[in-house]
Amino acid sequence: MTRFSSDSCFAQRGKDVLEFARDYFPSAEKTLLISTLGIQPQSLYFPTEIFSRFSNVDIRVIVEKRRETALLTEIGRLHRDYVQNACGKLDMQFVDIDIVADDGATTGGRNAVIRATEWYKQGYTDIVIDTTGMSRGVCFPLVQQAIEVGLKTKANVHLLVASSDARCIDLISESSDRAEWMHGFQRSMGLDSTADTLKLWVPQLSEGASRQMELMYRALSSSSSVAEVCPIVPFPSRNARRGDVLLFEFERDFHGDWDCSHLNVIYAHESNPLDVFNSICKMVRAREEVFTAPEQKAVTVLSPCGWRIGSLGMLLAAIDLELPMLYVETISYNISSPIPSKVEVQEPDHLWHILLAGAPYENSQL
Amino acid sequence: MDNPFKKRATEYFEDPASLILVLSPEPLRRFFEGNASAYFDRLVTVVGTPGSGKTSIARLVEFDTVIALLRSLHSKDHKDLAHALDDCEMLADSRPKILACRLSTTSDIRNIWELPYSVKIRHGLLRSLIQARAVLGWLRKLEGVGVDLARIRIIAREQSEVQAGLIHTADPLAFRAHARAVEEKVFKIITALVPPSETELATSGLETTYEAFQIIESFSVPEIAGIQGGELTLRPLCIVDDAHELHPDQYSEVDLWLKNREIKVARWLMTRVDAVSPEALRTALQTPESGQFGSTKDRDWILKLMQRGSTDKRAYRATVKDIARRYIDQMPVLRRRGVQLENCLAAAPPELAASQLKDLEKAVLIAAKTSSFSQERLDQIRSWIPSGVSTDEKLALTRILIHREIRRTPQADLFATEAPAPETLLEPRNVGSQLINGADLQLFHEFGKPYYYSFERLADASGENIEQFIHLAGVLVDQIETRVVRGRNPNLDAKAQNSILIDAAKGTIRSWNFPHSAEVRRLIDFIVERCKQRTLAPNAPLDDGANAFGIPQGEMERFQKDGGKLVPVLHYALAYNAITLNEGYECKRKTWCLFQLGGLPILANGLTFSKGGFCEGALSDLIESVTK
Repeated sequence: MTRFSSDSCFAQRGKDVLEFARDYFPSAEKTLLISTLGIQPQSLYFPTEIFSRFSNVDIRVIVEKRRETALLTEIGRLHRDYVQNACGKLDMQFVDIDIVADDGATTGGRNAVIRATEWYKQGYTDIVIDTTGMSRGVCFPLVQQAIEVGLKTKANVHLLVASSDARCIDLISESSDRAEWMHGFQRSMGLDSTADTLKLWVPQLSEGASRQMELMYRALSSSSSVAEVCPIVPFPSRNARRGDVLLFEFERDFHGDWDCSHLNVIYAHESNPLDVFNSICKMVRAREEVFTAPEQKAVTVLSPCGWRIGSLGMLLAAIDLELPMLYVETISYNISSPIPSKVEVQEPDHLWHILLAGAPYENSQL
Repeated sequence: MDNPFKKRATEYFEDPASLILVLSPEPLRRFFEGNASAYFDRLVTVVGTPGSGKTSIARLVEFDTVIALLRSLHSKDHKDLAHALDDCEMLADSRPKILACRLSTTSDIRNIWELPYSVKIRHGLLRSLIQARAVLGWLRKLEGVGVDLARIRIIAREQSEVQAGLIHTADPLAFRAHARAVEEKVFKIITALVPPSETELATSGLETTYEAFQIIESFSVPEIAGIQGGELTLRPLCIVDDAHELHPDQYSEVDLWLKNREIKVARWLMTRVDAVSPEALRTALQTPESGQFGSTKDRDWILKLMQRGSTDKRAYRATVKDIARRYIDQMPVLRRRGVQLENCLAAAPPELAASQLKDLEKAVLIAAKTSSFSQERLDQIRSWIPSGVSTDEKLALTRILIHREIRRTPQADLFATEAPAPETLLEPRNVGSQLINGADLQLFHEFGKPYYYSFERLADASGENIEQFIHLAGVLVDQIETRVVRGRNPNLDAKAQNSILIDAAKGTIRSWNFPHSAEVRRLIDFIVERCKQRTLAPNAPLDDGANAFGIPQGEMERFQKDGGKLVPVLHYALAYNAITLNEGYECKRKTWCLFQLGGLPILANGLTFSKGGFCEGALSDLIESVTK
């Protein structure tokens, strides 16, 4: 049993995902779906519209606990009732996960992994992580853990994501004031033995994330300076000017702290995680070649932020190439638009299924 | 490096050689004032908001920076810096005495608290990791300046031979290998996706804490290239930076542990204000000449405040002036033209346009008419105004003084039968610089007359926060550089300075994104609104107005219990310089706690930088403002 790599990664998109799900999961022996009760109704798509129709599925719906507001509580109640009605016949549980500790430290990933350890004791043939409404701090450690469990127990591990170009509910997020290593993705960063390693930083640029970028850059520079910054920008994108707008937004960083040329920018498809994955892999390999000669070690640090599908590409690269990931967690949300009186889960604009580990990877002819 | 103002923190300077080009000795002198030797024999807790200069001090005293400085003493600026280090007992006869290493508190150290073990084990892991990293940091600093580690000697305390043997002090390479092994073992536990159980932990060989601080006394180092005088004996200094990132229980444990007098290693704990207990902070604030010994009866620690409020304005201005000079010296375009920031900002006081002046004259006439004062009395009021003020200031002051006199004149009875008593000649009223500032602020709000210009106001706007100064100065320097490149006069007029600074302050406040930042903005808006009303009152009751909200000190004593949603909001407002607390402020025979606005909110909203003027209120008003 083995897992995906940059040479071989089985994935479907769009309607193919639905076809695959409808064909495959009813015949799978025992499936665990880990999903999230997100703020956007889209997060309910896979558990309610797809997996509720299957009988051999256990569903664990993570409820990410952040600072509560009256509107968030109301949305939470509506979404919970909706999922309960749709999936009530299945073995389904809502599981609260605290994202932030009392002192402001991020603990979501660690807490989620501890809870999931209990779920895996049931023994599943298929583990599905629905990343649609999950925060990165919870999702990425869960995916890493699921792959480890899958490799150990010979379970197939799937990643699903649904996304829409327009949001149903407008949100203003509030970030933590500390940059932290993603749980399970620190690798050897911070060890004395790697202190001389050259750092290449690959942040994912997104709108309004200047403060997060500053925190991450400062954290990375705290022991030794960052050798090079190669930001990832979404292109092609639904809004063709999005990449340019982002470059303008971060102009001060480019010419200031980062001291970074626009030639360093990596362009990757806004709604194709494999494009982000492949772009990072190509860059890391090229860099490895360069650094073989002077015998100096170099490490690429990834920083997911903003557009979710791009972040999943980063996740794939981090797992495949064992790269460290540094990020800033969102610690609360404020809703800036009216909330709908009833839940309507619409067809998503983008759907992806990625087989992370499982039997097909053992077939060398595929 | 084209524009060092664009480097937002000293961490971003790649190597010590480029760092010393921009470091000023003034913050170091201010930091070490008093008994410098006490900073190396007990715990020093350094408290300040982000950007107040904690990390700059730490980077300056780090061993590689000191060596880089000693190797380049040809420059006068470098000599000044070396003298400052000498005065602070970091050097003796131009030779280093201290081997300092800064240890950042990273998320992995904080995450030890999340491990599923007993408190004792978690504290043990924490101590082991800090000590192992400090040891490795010291050795790395030595190696970085070209010392052959195999030739150093680690001098252990007397009567600690057994413990010294356990950490291999006799063999420097084995000493480092052991520290690395400890670090890696703890690191593996912290970063594991699922940590090992407590029983599994016992078998991993980490059952005892790595105790280096109680064993090591000094390092004996062979001659270092570029440093005269042969072998050096160096006392190690561990600087734990950003200690507020620790869990509060971890912070208390580290604080208690490092206060132990048995530890011979020098140690500093640098933290944001919110990590320190309110009691300790209050004590320090009430003795603003910090650098004094702490409040414990054994005097075994020092609490050092990086920002001290209004006590030291002149010294702070001198410090930032020196910093600005050094930064500009690194910009060839400006250096060649001999540009100095304070000269470029020394603009002539602005005056209102003729049409605005007419409007103001009308307003004064209306005030005079309303007052029903005789011409003689009005002339007398005008005579109190000093001669040096501009025409518009004179008019604004006249208006204020008329309103003041109206309030002082008893109201006549509407149906009085007797004729009003004749006006008596008044005692002259004092019109000082603060009232002139108050008049200027009224003109700023009424006619947009520039108020925020000159180097002094720029320094005041940074609220004793060096990083904030560099940010604000950076935006002005950008404009100056553009003018120089275009072949124009580099000096910025008052209007340009005023609008650049206000835009920068507003932009920064808008971009605040830290926990509870939305509520902090609401709190600021509430205080600003109240202060504006007071500042713009026609009679300018507080001369140049208010920039603080005062509540009775008694209410503050119950803050932790009764503060409700304001407690976490204030925590971050203090941490990010949005607000400073001035407790125990005596006024009107009452004791107050002042919630003083920081430099940026003052700048963004047209208030005074002078401290002391406040609006009275209650804790409940503040709580209500954040819960709206």
